[in-house]
Amino acid sequence: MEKNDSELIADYLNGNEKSFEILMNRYMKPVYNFVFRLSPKNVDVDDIVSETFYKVWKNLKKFRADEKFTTWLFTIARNTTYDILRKKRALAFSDFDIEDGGNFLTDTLTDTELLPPEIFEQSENKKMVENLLESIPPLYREVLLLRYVNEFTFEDIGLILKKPLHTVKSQHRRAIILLRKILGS
Amino acid sequence: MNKEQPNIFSALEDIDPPRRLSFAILSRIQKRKQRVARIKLAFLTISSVLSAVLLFPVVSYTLAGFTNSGFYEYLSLIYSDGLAILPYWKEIGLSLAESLPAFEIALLLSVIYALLESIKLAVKNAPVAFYQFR
Repeated sequence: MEKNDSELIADYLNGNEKSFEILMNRYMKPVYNFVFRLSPKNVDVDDIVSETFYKVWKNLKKFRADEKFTTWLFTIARNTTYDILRKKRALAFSDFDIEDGGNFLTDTLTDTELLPPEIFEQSENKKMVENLLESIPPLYREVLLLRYVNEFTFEDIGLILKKPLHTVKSQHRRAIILLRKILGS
Repeated sequence: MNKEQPNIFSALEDIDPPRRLSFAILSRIQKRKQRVARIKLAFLTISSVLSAVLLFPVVSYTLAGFTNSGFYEYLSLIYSDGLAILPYWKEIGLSLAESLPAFEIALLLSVIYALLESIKLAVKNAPVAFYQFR
């Protein structure tokens, strides 16, 4: 029977070296894809992923059993990505600015529909979706990736981004509006 | 996410990480472990040698402690005429306990403990320190 994350961590801490390898391989692909899409194209993703799992290994003893491993892992992956990008100056601080500012109207929008089906059909082209993702600020990109690619709940995204739930939701809403705007034009 | 709504991100293709990446990460972790194990091993070797060297004067000091405290004299009473002192076994026992050089014994046990613990940890660290990850 396949062991869950907590069991693998406990096993590793009890001296079973193989457990960390299993755990790492289990999340290698989602983490790699997340980092790949969060970073600019001129950055070595392997470096960031390597650093992420190294940090996970180093801090495994500090992992609390009541936490969700995936949330903890993606928090490390995200922070490591930004740390490395900042060090390499591949990410300007302005990249974190919200393009449309703190728009009260967009914050209070109740329309939660992701995108109209016709746009979905049009955007089935993966290249187009990749380009679309690249064209939006990392601040929005991370929320969309965590929500729709890695399928985290808003609560979990809040934990990963260390932001309150309402901020995450409004960030998500703004990201959707921005996507619509780009796709519309 | 709401499954009824179209997810444009499902069009994204999963990228496979390079095959060597897992190996590279594990080997980096192994190198780090090895480095820590080698540093520990160096300290443990020094500590084992020091405790072993220290053991000789501490044994002499403890033996001298037994002699100076009169412990042997009380002990020899038991061996000289065991039956004669039987009625006074409480007093003899107490005198024996009182004459034990406690500080010297504690010092000796500490040094023995340090030596054994250093050897045990050094043996534990040695395979990690010299393990070749392939």
